[in-house]
This record gives sequence, structure tokens and C-alpha cells, in this order.
Amino acid sequence: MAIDLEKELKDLCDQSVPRLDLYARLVLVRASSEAIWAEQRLKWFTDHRATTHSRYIIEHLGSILERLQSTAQALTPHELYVLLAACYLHDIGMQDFKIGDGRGIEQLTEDDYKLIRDRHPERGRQLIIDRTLRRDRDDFRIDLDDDPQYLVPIALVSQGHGSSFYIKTVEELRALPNRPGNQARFRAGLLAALLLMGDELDLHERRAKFPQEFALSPTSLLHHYIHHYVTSVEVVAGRTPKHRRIRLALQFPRDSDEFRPDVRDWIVARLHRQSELTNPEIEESTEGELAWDSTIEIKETTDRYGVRRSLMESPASIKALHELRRDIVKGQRINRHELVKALREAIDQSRQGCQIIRVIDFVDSDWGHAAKELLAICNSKGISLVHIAFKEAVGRGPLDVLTRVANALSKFGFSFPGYYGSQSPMTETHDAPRPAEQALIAELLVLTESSPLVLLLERVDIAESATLSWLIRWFLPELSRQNVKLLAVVTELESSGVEKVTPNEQLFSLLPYTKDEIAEHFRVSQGFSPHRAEDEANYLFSLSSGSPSRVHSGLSIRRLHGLSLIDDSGGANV
Amino acid sequence: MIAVGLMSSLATEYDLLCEALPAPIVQAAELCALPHFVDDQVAYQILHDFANLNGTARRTWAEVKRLPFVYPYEQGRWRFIDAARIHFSSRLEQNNGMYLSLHQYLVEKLEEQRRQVEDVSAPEARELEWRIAYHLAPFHPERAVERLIAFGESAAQAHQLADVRGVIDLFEEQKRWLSGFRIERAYFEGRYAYALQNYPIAEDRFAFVWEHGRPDLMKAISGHLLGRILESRGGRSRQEEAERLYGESLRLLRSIGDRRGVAMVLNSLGGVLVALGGRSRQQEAERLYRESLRIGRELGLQRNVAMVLNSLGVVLVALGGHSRQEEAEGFYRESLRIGRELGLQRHVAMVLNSLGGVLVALGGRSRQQEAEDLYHGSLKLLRSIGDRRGVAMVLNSLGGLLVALGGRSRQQEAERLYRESLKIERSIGNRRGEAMVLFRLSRLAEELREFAQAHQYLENVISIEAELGNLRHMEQNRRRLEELRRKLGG
Repeated sequence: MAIDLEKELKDLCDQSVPRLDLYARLVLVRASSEAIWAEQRLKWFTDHRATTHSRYIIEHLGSILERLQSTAQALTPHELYVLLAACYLHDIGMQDFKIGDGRGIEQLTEDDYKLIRDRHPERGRQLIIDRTLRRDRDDFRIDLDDDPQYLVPIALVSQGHGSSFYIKTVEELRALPNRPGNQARFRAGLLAALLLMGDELDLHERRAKFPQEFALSPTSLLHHYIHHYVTSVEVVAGRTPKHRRIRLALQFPRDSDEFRPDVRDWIVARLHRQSELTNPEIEESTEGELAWDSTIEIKETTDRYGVRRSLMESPASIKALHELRRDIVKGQRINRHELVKALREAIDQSRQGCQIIRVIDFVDSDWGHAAKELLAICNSKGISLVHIAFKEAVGRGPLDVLTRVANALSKFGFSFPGYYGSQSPMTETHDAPRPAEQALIAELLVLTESSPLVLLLERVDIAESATLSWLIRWFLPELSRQNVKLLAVVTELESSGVEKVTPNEQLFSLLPYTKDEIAEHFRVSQGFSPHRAEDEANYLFSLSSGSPSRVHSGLSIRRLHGLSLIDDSGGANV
Repeated sequence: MIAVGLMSSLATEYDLLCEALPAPIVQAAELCALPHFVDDQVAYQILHDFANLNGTARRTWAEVKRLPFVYPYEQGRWRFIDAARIHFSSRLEQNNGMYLSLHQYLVEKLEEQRRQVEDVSAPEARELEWRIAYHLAPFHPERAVERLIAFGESAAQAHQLADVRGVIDLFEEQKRWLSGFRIERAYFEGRYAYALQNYPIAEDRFAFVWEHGRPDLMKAISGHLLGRILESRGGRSRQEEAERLYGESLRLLRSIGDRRGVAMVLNSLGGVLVALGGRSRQQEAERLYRESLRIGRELGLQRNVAMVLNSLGVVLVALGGHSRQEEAEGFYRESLRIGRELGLQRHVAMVLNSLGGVLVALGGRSRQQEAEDLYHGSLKLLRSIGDRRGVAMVLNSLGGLLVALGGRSRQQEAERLYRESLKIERSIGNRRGEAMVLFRLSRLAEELREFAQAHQYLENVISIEAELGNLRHMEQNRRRLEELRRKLGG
């Protein structure tokens, strides 16, 4: 049974000797915060208002702290006050549009809004302190008293709710000399961890608004859809009474088969990451009386009444879905930062001229993952990806490649009136006629002027030698010579010794992972503490020798073990 | 600590994943791993028809696509990485009934897709044909091989090497079902090796088919190509063996009524008869070429027609006489026209050389001038396609023309061309060609009254001919060597 934390604060204040006025102070903070959020300025974002979002966070925290408050590790009234005040104030940075260059709201761009969103925890901290101490005429009011023993912790705990600020904020909080109420125990790091998790758990369909008057960015729209599918979030007892387990109920529309696992994975990965991030602080500060359960429970149902919106309902929502998939593969990637950066940059630069990236593949590599990410990047950027693979030999001679490229592009809606490859005699000898090749390149020149294109040639080393020679010595150099505006990604197996196409092509190798790379993934993408990340990386490395394919299987097993799924198929559950 | 357990091998890794995955997803992975790749529609159909998923086939397939060993493959398709494909297919195989039924089901599905592709030469059509044979193998190996032979033969004739290799790959991938078809496999391995000019392997495979094969098209073609390999190595005994193989292949092809094959073997047989020498053989070769030409024209075998016209020209020139030379010129010009239409660059270069030769033989200043232009055109083409052997040959022809035109500077230029040709022949290890150039150099040196040099060249010629077992001109060369010695005063 969740406890009402505001009432808990009131009771604790009343029971204190001398009596504390912290509840009364909180009432003022709540009122200020509700005034600040009377109108949400970034209307296209999900609901962040104090009257709703802050209150729901407090509800979730009530569930999280339910058992702890009956133990010796219970939050003190001073801790509870700081936590609840931060719950009301943590997002006020999103109501501030001053980005320092004097531009008005009507002049802000998509990038400016992203900046506002990204920096809002830090900006919130500044505002809490500045507006409490002094206020200009047009500034909003924060009715927080200027008692520094509370003011600075509230500001910092608020800042810590942003996951990219969390670690440094906790460090800063630990170093604070303040001991509100002169209590021996003031666990500011724990408060930041609790706020971060409470905020994260406010996933709910009521927050999704889909405002029609704005053309939402794919990321903004995605957040509305994610919330739209969450019908309930609970925090319940986990594998022991001390462990708290997150339980979500999701409901999807009927046509959701294609994206259901994506939405689920995105939510679960995010919650797992935040639990991993906050768990050390929570466990340590409460001497093990509170910790996150490693399993997240999901119950999925299918909407029978046609009230759920589909992520595939419109071109805009499909863009949001592509964004979601890109985000998921990015989160699962281990290292390869340079390769992905190069791919993204080369896609952009291909608007100026032909780009070539070579990838050296290895047995048991993570090429499959890289291919998924490349596809996700292309989809999210709206770029056509033509993929020709040489894994199977049949139908992959030089003119076949041309035919396949033409056919693939025609599926994207482009036509090739000048190309008659499929009617030409198919031959792989040097006697092959050239008109079909020239015709296709001429069409590509025209096409890529308006529509960027990625051409992926997978495992060229196992193409027939005549085909390989044609690709490397004629086709790719010709694309480069004629400056066809596309990115060609060419993969080959280790030691195949395929010669360079152009001197300025970029080369990347999918080498086995090092321990450090695996540890970095655990730390950055999964929120592990440095020490735990290192332990897990050592263990995984000892089992896999860094083989990317094995490492990804290990991580998949780990993900599967961290999820308990019940769906309405009457069967599949993990 | 991470719940992975010991991953001592990839199989163990997949077993551990299977333990962690929900049973329906494992079953879906087993089913969808069997085809080489699947698109969403086919995967959904497989799961819908084979797995008991209570209406969640699409959802389950979406889960399978997220597994770390499944990745995007060509346009909208998905593929399991090789190790995973083997692992999950073998799990399915333990359920024998399901395994065979799915293969059968896939054959039907692929046949349906195949019927929708109108152009049989389109890569998609060929790929489907191959995949049908692949899935036929476990439950109907004879039909699979029958289909594979038709597919492979057509690929070999169209010079689609990748497809021929695909046939060999299929024999290997499905060897559990196709291991009894050793002759068929050897045949395609031979065709592939032959196309890549890997003659030792080609010879080994064709010899196996020739010895153990049934009297069918594969055996006939093996005999024919075996003869070609022997002939290319030079030496009279090999040429005679090639003649015998061509003859037997020809009889076989006539008996099974393969007129295309007949036309081709007639051409080869004509060629070896010409090489063996003698007027009667040349006359026989002319007859064979004319028959080959007739069949080729009837069947519309343009490529073969172009080749035979050139061969016919060569034999007519060899038989001598002004009218034959004029007829040869006509054949060369027709061959050139067809070759240009088909884009056969190497052939065009060769015919330019032959045409140049006959024009020189017909004589006359304007013809010689045209011949010189043709040789230069041929050289340019051969150099552009990197055919060094051809370049050496045309250098000889051009050198010969310059020698015939006479004059000190032309003789010096001819010597330079011969030396370049000699360098190429040596670098590519063509001993026969080397002997021919040395012979030309020896003649030129003699004409320039450099008898010591001429003697040395000829000694080398004799030594190479002896090494190759080519004794046809041995006596004649020895006599000339004696004569040179006398001229040297020895």
C-alpha cells in the first residue's frame, strides 16, 4: 500500500520536538510550482505540470518508500521535505526560454527546443537558487525560503533528476556541508536517486496529448506514443521485501505486432538503466533496506475498443517509430562510435558527392548489429538503402548487381526508363556490354540529386572474381569519378585483401571487443557503476573472448532475464 | 553476475539463448532459419502455417527479428547469421516431420514466386530456381539434382559463373542428401574451374565424369572440355588424344540430339585437325566448320557462329589459293560484325588479327595498309582488356607485316615488336608461343645476315620444341641450323 508522502511529512513534522514547519513550507512551494506550471510553455511536450506530473511522481515515491518508512532507514522529515520540494520544482527549467542570445520564443528553432530540454535540470537548479534569492519583474516566483540548508540541496536534488547530471550531482551533494535540522543523517544522494526514479516512472497515457496544432518532431511525437501505451505503473514488492519491483501494464492497438516489442524494449531498457544508475546510491544509503529488483514486469494487452493510436498510423508516426528503433539499436551498440559517426557524416556529405566507407568484417562479428543500425539511421533520415549481399552466389554477376540496384530503387518508387539491364544478355566475362551500366549510372546521377541514397555491398570478397574486379575497378570508381551523390558501404571479410577503390575512402574494422569497450557499454548505456561495469565486463569477456556475436548474445540473455512478460496471447512470456 | 553461463562454443551460446527465450520465439527461430532469408510476409506465413502461436505469428516474428543473430538482408528481408542458421535448422531437423514438411512448403511457395517473375534470365528468377532446388534436396534429391543440372548448364552456357558456383555450393550445403550425385557435382566443379582457367582441377573433374558418367550431355561436354584442356597444353600426343575425345563427344552429342553441343565440338575438332596439320586434315576441318556454321546459323548461336567463321577463315587461308583467301576475308568480316554486335571484345581483337593476315596474304599496298591499321586496332583492344597472350600474337603479326614490307627501319621496328612479344610469352610461361617468336627472330636475324644470332635463336627453338614433344618441324629446323652453321663458316 503506497503511502501519502505529504501526509507523512506533515505527521513527522507534527511529531517532531520542537515541531517543524517543513510541511507548511512545502505547501508554499507546491503553490509556487503550480503557478509556474499553470500553463505549460512547451505545449508539444508531454505533460510536465506540477499539478499532475509532480503529484504522480510523489505517488510513485510513496510506493517506493512504503516499506522503508517503517524501518530505521526511513527518510527523516528534513529529507522528505527536500525530496518533495524537488518533486515540485525539478522541471521548472523547461518553462524558461531564455537561451542567452536575446531571441524571443517565436524565433526559436527545433535545435533550441532540444537545448532547452537537454539543459533543463541544470537550468532548474540555477532558477531555484536565483529566483529564491532575487527576482526581476517578469520572472516567475518561487516561494521557497532562502534557508541555505534546504535551498541548495533542493536545487541540487532537482538537477540530479536528469540522468546525464545524476552522477556529478550526487558527488556534489555528498560534498555538501549542509546538515538540515542539524541531523546526523542527511542522504541527499538518495533523494536525487529517488527523484530520478520517480520521474522516470511517471509513464502514463494521461501524459500523452498529441497536440494537433504543432508539427511535432519525431522525438517529441515518440514520447507521446510511448506514454499513450502505458496504462499503469506500479512499484510492488520484489524478490525480497526489501526489493522494489517495477510493474507496468501496456496496451497496444490491434495492428501493433510490428512495433510492440520496440516500445516494450525502449521502456524496459530505460527503466533498467535508471535502476542500475540509482541502485548503488539507494542500496548504500539505506544500508540495503531498499533496492531495485532486477526484473521488470510487463503485462501487455490488445485494445479491443479501437481507442489506441498506432505508431504506424501516419508518415509522422512512422518517423517516430524509426526514431524509436534507432534509439534502441544505439543503446545496444558496443563501441563502434567512430564507424557510426562516419556513417552519419558520410550520409550528410553524400549530398555533395560520392562517399565510400569500407568495413572489414570478421567471423562472429557484430556486423548484424551494425547493419541494423545502418538501416535504422537510413530510415530515420528518410534515405533509401539499397542492399546487395554476396552471401549467396546465384544471380550476383555484374549485370545482376545493376538489375538488383534498379529493381530495389523501383521499389522505392523510382523508375529507370533508360535502363534495360534485365533484357540484356547476362554475362560475367570482360566482354560484357557497357551501355546498361552507363544508363544506370546516368539515372543514378539524376536520382541522387534530389534523393540521397546508401548503397550497401555486403561481403564483396565472396563475389566472383570477375564481379569483384568489376565492382572495385569499374563500378565504384565510376560512381566516384562521376561524383554520384550516394554513400557506398562496402564490407569484406578479414584478410580478403580487396584493393582500395579511391584513395580517400574510410576504413573501419569490426574487431573483437576489448574489456574496456564492454565495460564502457555497461557504464554508459546500461547505467552501471564503474566498479560493477568492470566486473561484468571481465566476466563477459572471459566467456566470450570479446567475440562480438557472443557478447551480444550474452547481453540478450541478460535482457531476457530482466523482463517478466505476460501478454494476451495466452502463451509467450519470459 | 551476468546469467550467461559458460559459452564454450557458439552452439552452447545459442542453447543458452534458447533456454532464456520464450518457447514460441525459439520455435519461430527454428522455422524461419531454414530458408536462406525471409521477408516479413513469408516469415509470417511460415509461422502462421507451422507454429501454434494462437494468432500471434506476426508479433512473434517481430520478436525474432530483434534477436542478435538476425539481421537485415537486402531489400526488406532478414537473415540468420550462418552459425545461428545451422544451429536452429538442426534443432528443427530433430523434429523430422516438421523439417521435411517445411522444405516441401518452401518449394511450393518459391515455385509460386518463381511463376510471377516473367523474365527467366532475371537474377531474382535464377535465385528462386536455385532455392527451389535447395529445398527439394532433402525430400526429393533426384528432382533437386535434375533441376540443378538444368539450371547449372544454362548458367554455364551463359557464362554466369556466380550461378555455377552456386550450384557447387548447393551440392556442398545439402551434401547429406546429395552425396550420391558425385558425377553431377564433379561436372559443375569442372565447369567452374575451366571457366576460371584452373585447368588442373577442371581436368581432374572432367576425367572423373568422362570415366564414370552415363552417356549423357554432361559426359559429352566433359569429354569436349577435357580435349580442349589437353590441346591447350600442346604436344602432338595430347592433340591426338584431344581429337579422340572430340570424336567420341561428338558421337555422344549426335546420339542424344544436342545440336548446340554438336556445333561447338565440330568447331573444336576442326581446330585440332588444323593443328595436327596436313592437307587432308585441313580439308576435313573445313567440312566440319561448315557443318558447325550451318547448325549455328539454324539455332541462332550467334556467338558460336562468330567463332566458327573465324576458324573457317583460318583453315581456308591455310588451304591456300586466292579464291579461298577471298572467301576467308568475307568470313572474317562477318565474324567481326557479329562479334562487335555481341560486344565480344577479345573475339573482335582476334578477328582483326586474322583479317589483317588474309589481307596481307591477298597482297596489294592498300590491303597491307588496312592490315596494319587492323593490327593496331587489335593491339589497342587487347591491351585494354589485359589479354597479354593476344598482344604477343598480334605483335608477331605486325612484325611479320613490317618484315614483308621490307626496308631497314621496318626490320628494326619488327625486331622490337618481336622482342616485346618474346618478353610477354616468357612472362606468361607460354613455351609454344616463345618458340614461335624465337623462330621469327631467327628468320629476321638471318635476313639481316646476323647468322650467329639466327643460329642461337634457332637452337633455342629446337630445344623448346623437343621439350614440348613437338617433333613436326624438328627435321626441317635441324637442317636450317646446319645451313646457318655453314654460313657461319663452322
